[in-house]
Amino acid sequence: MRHRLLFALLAAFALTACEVPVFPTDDTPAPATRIEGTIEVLVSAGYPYGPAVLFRYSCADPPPPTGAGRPIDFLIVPETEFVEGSAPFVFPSVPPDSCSILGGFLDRDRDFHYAFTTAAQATAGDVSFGFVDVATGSADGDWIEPVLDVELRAETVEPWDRPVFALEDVSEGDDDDSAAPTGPEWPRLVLDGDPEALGRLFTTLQTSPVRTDLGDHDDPRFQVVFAPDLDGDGFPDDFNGDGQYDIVWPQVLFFRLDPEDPTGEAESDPRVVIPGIILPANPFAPLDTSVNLLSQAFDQGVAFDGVSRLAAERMLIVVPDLVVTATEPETVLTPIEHVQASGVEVTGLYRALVMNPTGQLWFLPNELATDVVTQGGYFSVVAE
Amino acid sequence: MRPRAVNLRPAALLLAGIVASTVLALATPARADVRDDARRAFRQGMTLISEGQNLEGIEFLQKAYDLLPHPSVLYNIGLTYANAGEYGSALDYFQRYLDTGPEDGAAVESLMALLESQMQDDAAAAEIGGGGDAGSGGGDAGGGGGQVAATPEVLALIERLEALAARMEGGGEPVAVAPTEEAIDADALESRGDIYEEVVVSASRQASAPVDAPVATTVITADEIRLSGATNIPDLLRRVPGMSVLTMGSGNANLAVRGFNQRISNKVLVLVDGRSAYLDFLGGTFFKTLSIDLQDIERIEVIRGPNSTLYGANAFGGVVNIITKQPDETRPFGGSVHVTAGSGETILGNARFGGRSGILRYRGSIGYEQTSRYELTYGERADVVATTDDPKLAVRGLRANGGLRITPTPNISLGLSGGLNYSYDSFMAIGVFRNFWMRGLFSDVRFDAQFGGLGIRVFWNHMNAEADQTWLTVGGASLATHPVAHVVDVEAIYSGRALTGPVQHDLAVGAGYRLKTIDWSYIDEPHVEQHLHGFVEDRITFIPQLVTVLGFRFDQHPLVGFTPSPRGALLIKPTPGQALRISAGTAFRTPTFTESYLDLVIPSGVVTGVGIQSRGNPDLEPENIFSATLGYTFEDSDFVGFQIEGWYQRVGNLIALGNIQSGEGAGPRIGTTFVVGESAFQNNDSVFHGLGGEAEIHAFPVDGLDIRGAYSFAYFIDQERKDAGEDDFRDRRHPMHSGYVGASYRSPIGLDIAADLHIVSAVVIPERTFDAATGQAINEDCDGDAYAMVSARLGQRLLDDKLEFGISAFNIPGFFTGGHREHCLGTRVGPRVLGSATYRF
Repeated sequence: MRHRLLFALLAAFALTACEVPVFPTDDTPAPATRIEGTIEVLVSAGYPYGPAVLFRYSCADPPPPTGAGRPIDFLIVPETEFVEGSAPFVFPSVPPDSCSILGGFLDRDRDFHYAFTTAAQATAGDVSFGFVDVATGSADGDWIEPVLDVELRAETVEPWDRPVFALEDVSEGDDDDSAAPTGPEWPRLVLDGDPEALGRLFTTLQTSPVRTDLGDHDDPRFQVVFAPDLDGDGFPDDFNGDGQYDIVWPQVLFFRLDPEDPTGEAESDPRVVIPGIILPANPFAPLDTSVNLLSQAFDQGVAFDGVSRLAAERMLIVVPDLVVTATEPETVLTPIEHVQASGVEVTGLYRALVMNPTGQLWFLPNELATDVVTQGGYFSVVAE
Repeated sequence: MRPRAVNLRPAALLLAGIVASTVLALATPARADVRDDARRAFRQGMTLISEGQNLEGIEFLQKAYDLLPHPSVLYNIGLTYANAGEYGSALDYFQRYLDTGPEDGAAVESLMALLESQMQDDAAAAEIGGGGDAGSGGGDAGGGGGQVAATPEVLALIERLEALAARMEGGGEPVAVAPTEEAIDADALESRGDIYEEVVVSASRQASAPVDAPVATTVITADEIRLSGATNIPDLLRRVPGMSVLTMGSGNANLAVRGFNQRISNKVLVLVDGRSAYLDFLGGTFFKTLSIDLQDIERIEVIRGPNSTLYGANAFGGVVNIITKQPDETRPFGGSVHVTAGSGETILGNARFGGRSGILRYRGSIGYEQTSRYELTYGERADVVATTDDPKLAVRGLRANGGLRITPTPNISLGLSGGLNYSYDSFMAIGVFRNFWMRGLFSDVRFDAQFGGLGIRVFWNHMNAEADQTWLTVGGASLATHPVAHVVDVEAIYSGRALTGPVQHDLAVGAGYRLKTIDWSYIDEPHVEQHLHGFVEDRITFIPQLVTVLGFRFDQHPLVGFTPSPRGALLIKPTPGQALRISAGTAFRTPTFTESYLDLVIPSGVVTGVGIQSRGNPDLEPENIFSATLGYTFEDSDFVGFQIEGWYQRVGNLIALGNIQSGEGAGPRIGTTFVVGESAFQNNDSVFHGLGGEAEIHAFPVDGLDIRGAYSFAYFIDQERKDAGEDDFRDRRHPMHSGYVGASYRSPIGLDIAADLHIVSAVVIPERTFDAATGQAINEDCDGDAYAMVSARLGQRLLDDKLEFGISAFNIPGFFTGGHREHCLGTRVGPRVLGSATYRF
């Protein structure tokens, strides 16, 4: 008994002497793991590759083109890391029991800019990676088994640039002597107070060259993809039965902005999104070829196969008073006044966003300039 | 009935042993703290001698010498024997005094020759007179003998000894003695004054007793260091009132005096024998990079309050001057070997020696130290990798230092000393993980010369180290770096005394030059700075009861320009051991190389590829402080001394990294990190007003027992927050209350017991961190715990104190609580148990 006590005391002293306990400080990040793998360049992109820009998204908020999620982490793999078309990468600080989507591109023209979403994406000539889903395991104490040998394939050379555009139909506001100038008047959707009566607004999106410190976009185009002609009538099919030939890309969305946000850039919570519908032609002026996408497609021989793209300068869109809300994600479209009646504020300024089938996107206003007028400004919803 | 067998268990035996030892020790006349006991015995002895009780007085002087050998005690005993007519004994003691190689050896030899001559004459007279006693003391009468002749030499000797007797009877006041043909220096016949009085050299340009210092001072002696069981300097400094010690981890602590402590603190100037140990590239002092061990320290002087008048830049909140041991003057050769080992994988070893030969003094020391962290911030994780083989190592250092000094004449002295430390140190700095290690060579060389009143000092500090984050996210951006720095400093000072009527001026004037270079990847480019300074100090003694100390210094800094630092102090001394002190002065801290020239992208830690560009600012103004104090010091008693002081401070232009300007400087990618914003050092617009007070007491009421206590209070107002109408405008970087109580007992059987209690109230330190949600840097309040720390040591001295064993426990409450946290980003300060052995030769 005495020997056991002595042994225990010696063991305790030895532990005190040798063991250094692990105890986090206030800023020690929570236990996490890593996702490790390689980037394989599968196209003849030629040298130099440029650095690889890698994004990690949450599976719950997927990136364009399937969603509108923003990356939750990103890293840069320098070009010098590539050996024979392959370079290792590591995403650290990945929480346990998480699902991530990895993507990215080779920034061959080196115009990536993390801070500006409009510049944090592949541009023409860059090589995009296919997306990969990765799940992490559970924590065993501080240890979470790392995910190894993930392969990101750089396989798609982006032929197009981003859909840089401006909102048209902007008129100057009142500017009489009795009041200060109110500024430009944005395209507005007026709520008529009748939830059953569908309202709509027509507006035009015009591609617009921009020159910034981050690069020039002298000839941007919308990448229009028509619905496939499955019935063989020589025209795109009308899947939704609205009487219009369907256009599946680009996607036009309007995100309601948080009126309390001092930067004017944060989206409202809950999210309120109004989808824009691209019209293949102006039904009231079919001879207006500038927005007659169908005739342009015929002229340029673009196939209606759901893949081929038409490069368009202008698009006419109709904005219905239908909303996709975060409160009812399972509902595809809800009349906007129903949403308003449910207590979710829908009036206010909206950000216009256009997304290419590649996931490339542009939105207004964006961070590239403080003068929003030059970027086409906002879309707004007002109560009657 | 058979007596019951007594089965004493080991624990009971141990307890009984401790009780018996304590009782035995208490029952025996004990010895107090060495210096206090020696001083008390010396004073008692000199008082008795002045009353004519020479032999009784000599007994006390001998006791003082036994406690703490000092050559001047031998001299005083010799002089007293001479006065008593016991020339033989006098010659013995004078010879022992000469053996210590004193500067006035020639004069003492002349005196001894006269005494020998007198002994011969006395012997001759006794022979003539019938063979009577040739004089007491047993001295060698020498050859010759003969008639007493009233020679001039004998008459002169008689005259001097009579004068000496008169002086001693008069209480030790100096008496002028006429020069003789043997050219005996008159000073040689004066008994030495309060040999054991504490002397501080850091408070003004001229050494003085603490009671005469123009600023509040605290001295930690070698004996206190030994009895504390401490293994690092900051833990010793916890006992200094007004001192804030902010421990971030094992071996890494930050100091502040009277406010504004922080991670990598930069407002206390640390000196080693007057040589700056301030690391100009980063600010502050890394104690574990010093080239000395605790065993090398004779005492630590702490000057509380601003002191740029003496030391220029960075003597902002206070000054810590570490005075190293010099060769033992009472022995031609000596030294010690020390070993400490215990928990936390702590191993300390030190071997030191010192001696003298003729006009040469020499000393040397070599030491090794290692200890582990109290805690690891990161365990085995899949997303984090250590950049060092042994991340739990906190400190490892191999140190050596040494020095030579020659004193060809009493007025000329030349010294050369140096040290080096191949050090591994850990500290909390920047980045996501904050944990950094620094490994490299830290060296210093110092030359000083004294030619009468003219002194010249040159030193060179050099650092060549590698540093990196201890932990790194796998694949994360590296912050590895390799700073190389040099500091060359030259200063000349002339000290002298002048009289203008009855007023005495002790003047010191001087000038200096400092060259600093830095080559470091964290800053924009290599830099060289040259500084100039000049100073004057005048200690004006109108009457012994009224003294003023006026000082002025200017510094010319390449970035902040001309900076004046005036100081004035008035001392009212009703008795030699009491002083009422009123002082006011200013100080400043120049921006460090980091603050001036930083050019570094610091990873955000929230988003892997994102970093913030951090920049220095060459246009910064120096931090400034004005301080006014009112203090009182009492040292008249042989049983107690105390000091109290109240202070007011106004602090402005504090330097810190400013807010991040989002998008500023953004765009270029640097390595694997993308810059999204920029932050630069800037001066804080606010002014801080502080009020505080400190009290310090040292009691030695009975032999063997020393009790020390300290309490400090501090309250700071952030004027900007107050003006903005904020309800809470208090700056909490400094603990509002801190207290210390310590007791030590040295028994005559060699058993030493010491215990310390520190109580410190909570602090709140602004800390820059990243918001995980936004990835932006924000300033957050970082809490430091209120805590009570108890440490104790039990020691046993053997073989006439040559051998000593000790066991010490540091932060005993930590055994039960796991430790306390002094900074939210630091590790908990845990307990340590250490055993030690020392052999002195």
